[in-house]
Amino acid sequence: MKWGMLIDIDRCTGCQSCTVACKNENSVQPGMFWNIVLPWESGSGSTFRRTFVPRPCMHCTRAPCVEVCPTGASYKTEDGLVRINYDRCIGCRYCMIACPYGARQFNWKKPWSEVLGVKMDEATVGVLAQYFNPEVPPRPKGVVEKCTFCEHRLAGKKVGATGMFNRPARVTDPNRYPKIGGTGPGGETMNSTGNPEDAIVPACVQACPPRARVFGDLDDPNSEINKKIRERRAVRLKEELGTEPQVYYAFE
Amino acid sequence: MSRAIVNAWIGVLVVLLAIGIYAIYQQESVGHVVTGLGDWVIWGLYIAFFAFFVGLSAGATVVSSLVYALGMEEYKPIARRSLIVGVASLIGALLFIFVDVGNPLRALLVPVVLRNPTSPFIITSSSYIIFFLFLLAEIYFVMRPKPTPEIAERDKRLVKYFAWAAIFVALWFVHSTTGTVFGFIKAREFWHSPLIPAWFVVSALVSGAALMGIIAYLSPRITGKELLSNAALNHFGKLLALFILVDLYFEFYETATLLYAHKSAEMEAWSFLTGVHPTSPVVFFVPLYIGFQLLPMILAFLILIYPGNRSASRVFVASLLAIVAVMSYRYNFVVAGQIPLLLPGIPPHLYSPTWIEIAASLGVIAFVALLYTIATRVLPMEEASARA
Repeated sequence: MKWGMLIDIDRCTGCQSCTVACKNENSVQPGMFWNIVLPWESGSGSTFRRTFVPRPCMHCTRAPCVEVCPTGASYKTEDGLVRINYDRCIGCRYCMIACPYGARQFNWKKPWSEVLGVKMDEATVGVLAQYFNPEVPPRPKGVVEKCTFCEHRLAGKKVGATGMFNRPARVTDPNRYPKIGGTGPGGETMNSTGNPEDAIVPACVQACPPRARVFGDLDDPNSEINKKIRERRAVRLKEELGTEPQVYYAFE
Repeated sequence: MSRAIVNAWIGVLVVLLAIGIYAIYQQESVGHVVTGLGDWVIWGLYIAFFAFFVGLSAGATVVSSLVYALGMEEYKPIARRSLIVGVASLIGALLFIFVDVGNPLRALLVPVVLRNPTSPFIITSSSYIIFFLFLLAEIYFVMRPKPTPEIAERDKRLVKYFAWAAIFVALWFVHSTTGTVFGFIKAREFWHSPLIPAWFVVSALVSGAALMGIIAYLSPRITGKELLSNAALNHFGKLLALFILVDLYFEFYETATLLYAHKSAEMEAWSFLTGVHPTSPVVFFVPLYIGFQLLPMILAFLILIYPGNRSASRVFVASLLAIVAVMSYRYNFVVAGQIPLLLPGIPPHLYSPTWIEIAASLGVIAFVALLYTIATRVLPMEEASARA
């Protein structure tokens, strides 16, 4: 199993739904973004063109951030995710220096709960669960964080993710993340087919109104994402660096 | 008179150290948000000073090895001081890492349990520890009392082995691997050059020799005891000029390659250096790179090669210029490498060190100076036989 994502630049409208969904889903602190939409501009006057390029973590197969991490806090999981162990991170930020995509964020400040002096006991968490996703562990000051491909959602399909207080993340309730199945404008099957299993995708994939993102298993030659990569002749960013990203981009 | 100067000096250092500790306390309680750093310029003043102090340590140790390994007896009066500078600077460099990282206490475990062998930091931290132990052992064998001529002879031989090993570890590992921390990073084109480890080593020699030049000038004026003879100073000036020449050589060919290739990322870093980029550091209306790195280095070289005897004050002025140039080089190199945007469209931010960063850095520097001052007062700085 090797999770990957395909982003169809031609469909992206730059609406930032993925950015907002990601921040909501992962309780990302103010001023920090795990997913951003880059406006790429070219030409001038009548040839001016702006293309929107969403940028999550690339979850590189040969991730430079994992190579340079002195403590092994950043590592590749068995299902191809680049994961950060917040308890091992010393905050040297070498991974941010080494990442060619700027995907990593440092916790320059204390989290909101520490600033307000909120005691994060079980009862408080229960109340806050309606505002903050209890399945995503909070990040303390002084560690690096980044997009996880919503590993807590994928926990329904894999093992190893942990929720708050290091409890094993519960198998994601498909009703919490409503199905978005159906057919696309061209009549093609979308990444969620109405099968509850397929509803388990990262928040950005689920939130994308023009359905520009496809999520799936890169190791399975018959997966929807691999079919799309072949059909659209998808490319990866900064291929020349040999990082072999697991996020593909398709454009005409 | 001299005692009053020393007491005033120690007083200033203690005040700076106290301010620095307060700044570090602020930073640790609020978070690194009090620094000017952000997700765009990730490493700043602290890492620049870290690289500078590692270089100082390696360079000063090589100066001491000129005496103990190569037998240049004329520099013997500054050899012990060079070893003290080597240890104190290495401690300073490690303190700068602990000030920089987000979890300093956890970082203490890196050389012991939290290890990822593919990280350049593992070989750097290991070589710093080995180098530190080497220096301590060398200082012990140099300075311990030598009751009989046999023990003195045996210690001299032991010190010679240590001094050769110190040259090797300092040049091959300590500062070269500090260069690879930057030179290995393919994501940052401005840093990604095989010249960097070698250039780091040469600039380390410049800074180490320059600091010893400054000490050789100031120390006699405070203690009243002459350190280097005029002939030795004259020769020391030539040595420093040679180091500066090789450093300028690296500067020239690294820059020439950059300008000839004119890749967009490297040109962005270059525009930062030359003052064109909106975030370029401009000190007293002069771009940092031209006014505080290139010009002082060339000026120091010209002062040293000017015909005639190199007097103590001439070597002192040249050393001062050279050390400012190396300090600026470290800052320019660290910050300029991060200026090119990784992907177009990422919102940039301005980096300039905040007062907290400057106060914390001055605090660490004051601590290093305090270590040096106390060590040179407590430990024997001259051979026992010379004193008797």
